[in-house]
Amino acid sequence: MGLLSDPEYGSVKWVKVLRRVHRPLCFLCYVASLVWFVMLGNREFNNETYFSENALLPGLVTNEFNGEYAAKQYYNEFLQELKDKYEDTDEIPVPWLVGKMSQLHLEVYTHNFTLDYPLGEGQVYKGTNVYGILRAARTSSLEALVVTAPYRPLFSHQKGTTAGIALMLAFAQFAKPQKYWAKDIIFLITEHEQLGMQAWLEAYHGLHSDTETFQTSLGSFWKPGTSGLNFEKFIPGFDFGATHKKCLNPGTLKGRSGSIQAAINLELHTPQIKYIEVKVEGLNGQLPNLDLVNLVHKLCVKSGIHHSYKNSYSWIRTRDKMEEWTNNLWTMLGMVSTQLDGVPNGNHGLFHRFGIEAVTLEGRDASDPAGAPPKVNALNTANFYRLGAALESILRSLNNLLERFHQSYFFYLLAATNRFISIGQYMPSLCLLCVAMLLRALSLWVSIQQDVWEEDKQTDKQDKKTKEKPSDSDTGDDETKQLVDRKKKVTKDKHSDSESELPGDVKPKEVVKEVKRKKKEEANFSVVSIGANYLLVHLIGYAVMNSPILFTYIGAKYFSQPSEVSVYFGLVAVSILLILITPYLPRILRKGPITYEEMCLVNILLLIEMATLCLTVGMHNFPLGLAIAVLYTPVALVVEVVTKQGGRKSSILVALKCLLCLTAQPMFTLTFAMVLYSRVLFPEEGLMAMMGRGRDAAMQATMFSVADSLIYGNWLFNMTTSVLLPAWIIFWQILCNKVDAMA
Amino acid sequence: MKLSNNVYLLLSFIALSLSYTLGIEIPEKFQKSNHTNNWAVLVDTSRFWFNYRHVANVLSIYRSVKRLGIPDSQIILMISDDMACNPRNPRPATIFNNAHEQINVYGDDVEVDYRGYEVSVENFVRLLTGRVPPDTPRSKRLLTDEGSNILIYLTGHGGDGFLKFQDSEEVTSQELADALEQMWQKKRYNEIFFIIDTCQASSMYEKFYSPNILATASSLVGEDSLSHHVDSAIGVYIIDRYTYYVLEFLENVHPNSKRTMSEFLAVCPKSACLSTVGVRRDLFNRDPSKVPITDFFGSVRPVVITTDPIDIQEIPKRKKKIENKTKVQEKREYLPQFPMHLVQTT
Repeated sequence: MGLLSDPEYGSVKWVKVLRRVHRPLCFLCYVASLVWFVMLGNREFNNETYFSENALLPGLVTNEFNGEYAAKQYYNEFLQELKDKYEDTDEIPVPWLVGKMSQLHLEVYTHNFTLDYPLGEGQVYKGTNVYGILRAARTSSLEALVVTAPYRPLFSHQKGTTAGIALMLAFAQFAKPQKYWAKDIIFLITEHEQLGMQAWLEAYHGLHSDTETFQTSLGSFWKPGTSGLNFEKFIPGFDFGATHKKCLNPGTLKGRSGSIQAAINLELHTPQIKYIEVKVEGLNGQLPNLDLVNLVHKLCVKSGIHHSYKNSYSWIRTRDKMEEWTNNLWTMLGMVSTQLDGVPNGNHGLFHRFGIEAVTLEGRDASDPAGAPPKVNALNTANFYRLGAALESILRSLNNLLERFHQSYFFYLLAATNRFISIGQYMPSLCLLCVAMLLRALSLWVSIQQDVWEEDKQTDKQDKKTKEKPSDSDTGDDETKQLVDRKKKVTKDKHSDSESELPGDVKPKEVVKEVKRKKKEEANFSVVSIGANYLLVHLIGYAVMNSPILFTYIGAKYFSQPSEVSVYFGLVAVSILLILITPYLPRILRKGPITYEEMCLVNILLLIEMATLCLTVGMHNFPLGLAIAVLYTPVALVVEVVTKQGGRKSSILVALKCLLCLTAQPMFTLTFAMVLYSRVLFPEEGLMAMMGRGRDAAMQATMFSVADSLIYGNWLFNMTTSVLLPAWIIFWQILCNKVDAMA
Repeated sequence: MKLSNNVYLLLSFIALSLSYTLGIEIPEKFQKSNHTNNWAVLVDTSRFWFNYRHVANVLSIYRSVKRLGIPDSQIILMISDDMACNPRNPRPATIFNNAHEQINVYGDDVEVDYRGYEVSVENFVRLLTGRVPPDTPRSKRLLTDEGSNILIYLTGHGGDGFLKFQDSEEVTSQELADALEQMWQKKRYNEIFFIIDTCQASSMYEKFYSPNILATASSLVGEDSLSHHVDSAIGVYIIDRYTYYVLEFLENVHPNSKRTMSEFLAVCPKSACLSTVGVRRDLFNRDPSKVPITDFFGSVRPVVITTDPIDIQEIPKRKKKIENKTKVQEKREYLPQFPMHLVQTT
């Protein structure tokens, strides 16, 4: 605090420089950040991938996979079985799978789970997973690898996974008699996509719905058993807290193996795929260890399978630097957009939370819904032999692991299948954005300090003219004092004719006196009222976070609307309500009018909060942190305390700022983004249809994020409502409350 | 040790009587040498499946010295990990030295004296210096004496000035040099042949300062020692280059062959090893080109049995032996290997 309470503070050189240049500096930071991100796509700024883990010994071993014929047979049999008996049901063919696995002498188990859908009228979904364990003959079952495939019924709108399941069975047949396994292999087929996977993982790790575990505390900020808002008092019969913990009942597993080291998820709809897309993004943007990703890419090459990641295709290697740069950039942006919402793009994504590295291998052909990459038709199609060989070499390499993946990067961006950007390289991009906000906060802080200091100085001059100077002041004090006074005069003159851009700047003398008088009349700097407002706003955010279940209940009971409609419109209503009400909150909490300093302090706090939020979120999920920072840094920099003394020009400016602030409202941003997105997808539609589509998409998105938050522990919704929304409310409060300017 | 001394004494008397009665010329080198017995200390310092090649290295040398005549009781074999029984090994209970899998270096009778976590810096240094706990079994002691030629072979992961033991500790070149000096002072060796196959291996012998040490290393400082090839059936790098060529050379050496140490030192030219093999000769008194390889790799001597009585003449006073440079008080002395002063030479 020595620095902050230094009486000569205002005259320190860097403070003056900072006050003068902080705006261009912040702008520069913002631009530099974006430039940095774009530069990361360039070959010079990213790195070639490499293996850190010695134990993997990738691809040293000859492939022995000979299950091509068996795989074809399984594939045909499975398709026939599905057509015969499961044509119009979404049930998983448990008997067939159990039968086939038993024939292979695996330890076969089924696993039942139940979901009490939290956002409905008590719908209950049931599902069954089937898994078989291949025990490693020469070791104890302390470690395991998982090969998994989601089961999808024939009529599913998603691509099937029958070929993946057939390949898995053929591989199990091949692997069973081998004597080199040092880890058990679990062959798992899950139902209901990620739900089954989540249930199986929770059951495997002994997480139960009724225990207070990290799952429940991660799943929402609500811990079962904690006392909090008890809505049961207000609405009898409405079970509020319980829904959080009883969402997904994972049941229990009858058979277990050891700790899972790695998992491979197969999504192959046909053996005649053109190439394999390696999907890595997991829950909350978590990524598997880079070593595993490299391993998969490298062994695809070795097995003669074309592979890709986003916009980077293994069979296209351009020499043109610009083209490569743009490709890399698109790949990075693709990764950013996938990680942004924190929803895993495959079953692999749920493993990461348990410290298990996992990737999905998705088979694609020329007519894939993801779009056809260039020259795809010229590619040789893969077959069961190559796919099996790839799977074999991946698993044998994983079999060599001695400990969990720990060597390579866990935080990275991929620019191509063989290029990556480490956390050290991409964080500066986010940090620059946060620096911009912190710089702004610092400049606000020093401007308040200086104002106070100048005031003190004036009173000093009047009162203690004859008195001696403090003993510790040096001889140069007199000179500096005069210098500062002169300078102040100059600035005053400069500002007296033109209205001030910076409210923190020195104001005409009359105003100064008036404010000073006021200041003497009342203790006008009330931290308590600011704090109370701050706390209240965040409590509102917390309440909004917990509101969807209430909305669902109300919507269903009084309007008989489906859950997604009631949640969406409930949140919209709350947003509008907050826009209207919150500007009055600080006035209610405060007896007298709010002072400029208080508002400034709130602004500083807010800037610090935003910077912290972006950095902390960015540490876990860089794309999300970056997106928030890119979106909200301009708002944070533009928003400033509005003074009553502003003229016509400044009121227009304030109106524009308000508009900008409104567009940054999370709910509005979401809807707007969805409208834009549907415009991009369906450019031929009219305005109204576009709006409708956008609204529906926004509804879906809201619903998914709420459901994901409740079931899987995705914290996008929680973070948005409990931190981002309060922050936005405070921005709004700052803009909507005019205060008296002060010197 | 007494036992083996007696054996040697007996042997020498037999040889002596032979020379006396049959007038066989005893080679001068043989007469002058203090070398009475051979020992080998073979150490693999690294564990884990992906270090298969280091175990193959050390077992290759083990196989050779055993074949050339050093008995298991005089070989101290230290192996950090059990590759033969690793569940990842598709050929259980075997360790091969090349991809054709012709030589199973694990063999039928491998006696591992220190294994697993017993292979530590402390145990290694204690073994060399003889400062083992009193209850240490005989198989874990280096029971050498003034007349012992010791072959020390180390393999593992090294750096400039250190050799890593397991994943947790290192022995530095200075520590090793001090341990050897201690051995010299305690009269624990006659000559040492030191081989090390690691990265930057030559850094390990640079600090040596005790006499009678011939040292060679698979690579110079700043160089990596490379593996020879992959066995894709087992899925590992199977052996290191230097040791591969050493084994190839030793396979053609027999107890009676006249190969010399200088041939051994040139076994792996840079074209084959890819790293430069380092040799340190300055501590070694003899000319390596005149030292038979069996001085370090074998201990079998030709023996002829006689039934004739041996006529021992009057025993003259022993000459005082020349002191060591290190000026340590001598408590005991061995008789010269051949009491030539007792025998009428032709």
